[in-house]
Amino acid sequence: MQINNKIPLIFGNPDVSFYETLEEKKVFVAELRPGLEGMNAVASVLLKKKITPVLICDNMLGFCMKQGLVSKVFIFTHAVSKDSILCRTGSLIAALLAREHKIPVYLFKAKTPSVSKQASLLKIGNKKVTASSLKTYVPLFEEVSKTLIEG
Amino acid sequence: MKESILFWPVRLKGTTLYILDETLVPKKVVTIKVKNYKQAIRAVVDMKTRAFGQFLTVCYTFILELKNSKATSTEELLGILKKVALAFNQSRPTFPFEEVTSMMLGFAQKVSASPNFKDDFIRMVEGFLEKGIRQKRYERARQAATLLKDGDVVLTHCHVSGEMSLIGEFCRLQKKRVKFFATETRPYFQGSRLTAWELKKSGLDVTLVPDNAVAKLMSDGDVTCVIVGSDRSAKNGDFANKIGTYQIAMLAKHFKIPFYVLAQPSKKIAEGRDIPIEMRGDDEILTFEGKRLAPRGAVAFYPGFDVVENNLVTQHINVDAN
Repeated sequence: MQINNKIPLIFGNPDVSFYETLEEKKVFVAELRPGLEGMNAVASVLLKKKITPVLICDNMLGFCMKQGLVSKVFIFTHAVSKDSILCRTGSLIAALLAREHKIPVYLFKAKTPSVSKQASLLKIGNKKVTASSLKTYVPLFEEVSKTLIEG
Repeated sequence: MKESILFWPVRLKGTTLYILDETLVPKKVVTIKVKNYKQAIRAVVDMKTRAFGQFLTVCYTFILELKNSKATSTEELLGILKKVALAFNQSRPTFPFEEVTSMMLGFAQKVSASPNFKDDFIRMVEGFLEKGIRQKRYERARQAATLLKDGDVVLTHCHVSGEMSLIGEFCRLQKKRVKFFATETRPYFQGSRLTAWELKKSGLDVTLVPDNAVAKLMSDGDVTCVIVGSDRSAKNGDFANKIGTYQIAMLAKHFKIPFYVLAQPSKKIAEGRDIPIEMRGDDEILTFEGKRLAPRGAVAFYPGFDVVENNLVTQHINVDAN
């Protein structure tokens, strides 16, 4: 897939209200390992709204921003404190890289996570990736400083 | 010192090249039998071998084709080597195939006046691999271990062809306790399948993390340094490595964490921006082992590598093959 114009980047799983604000017809969507909510839930909603999701892996944010392919970044809050917001892990990467590349970051409400078994880092799409004896660490949320948010 | 099977993933026995199929590790340890340069290039294009494995594949394929050839004149044999070089140079863009094939052709030129051209060339390449490469990779791993302190926690990305476990082994010898975090390295999972697996197999303390957890680890103070490999280096110290390396380098700078790269200096490319970046197909992100992961209609964007500028590197740990 070739990207010829700048498009927004979605990092996280937005509340349904977010999609009404989206004007573009094509957006980058981070896949969100290990659960792949970006690749599945977010992409499915976008497709229903006739918006093309361009899926990228969570390690491609920096490349896309550096190449000038990202117009703005959307991240999504699960909770707010005085100085920071609680977001899906990886949002801090998106926000810090965006600041470095002078790309505005906008905050919207996240979809309330459903109570379900956490996805395994050792699998993808129910297929085993590597040895099941490996130790894993999957932090689901992280704090992002409010100073990194434009609006 | 015990080497990981991934440290030297390609071997030549007689007239067969055995290439470890890195896409199957750790589920299976299978070698692909290669009889000629076309099969070797297929293994490279299909990413059955990668990084250092590609380097070995090129070197051994030159030997293989000479062994296979019934030609007797040096001129004919040189023609075969040039044909092999051209084919590798056109196989994948980011890895410096041209630099490796030029080196091989340079060796061939050096012994072209010899009446035993074939044998002398093979001896020269084999000697180069043993002394120029194997021993220098050991030295590079030792140097990297020297930079680490007791109690350090290393974050690594993708896979450095068996060298990270060697660093762990050197740390052990130096009586340092070092832990590792390995990113899974989507979409090919080199971190999950290769790095984490081999570090654990070597008895080292390793934890696998998703690519999106890097800033969380750094902001929580869980990582004390980053060590990555380099698929291709430029003269000014910029380098290209597996996609995701650039954002890790940026984050390391932000969180003031030392960022080290295991590199091989190059004089061919001036700056990182001159390194061509391979773009790969959508399906490699959208599917896994034939199973579709994303809804129909979704597309993907897959740059295979990215470039890290030299100002983000705390120290290059170099091995110069020349």
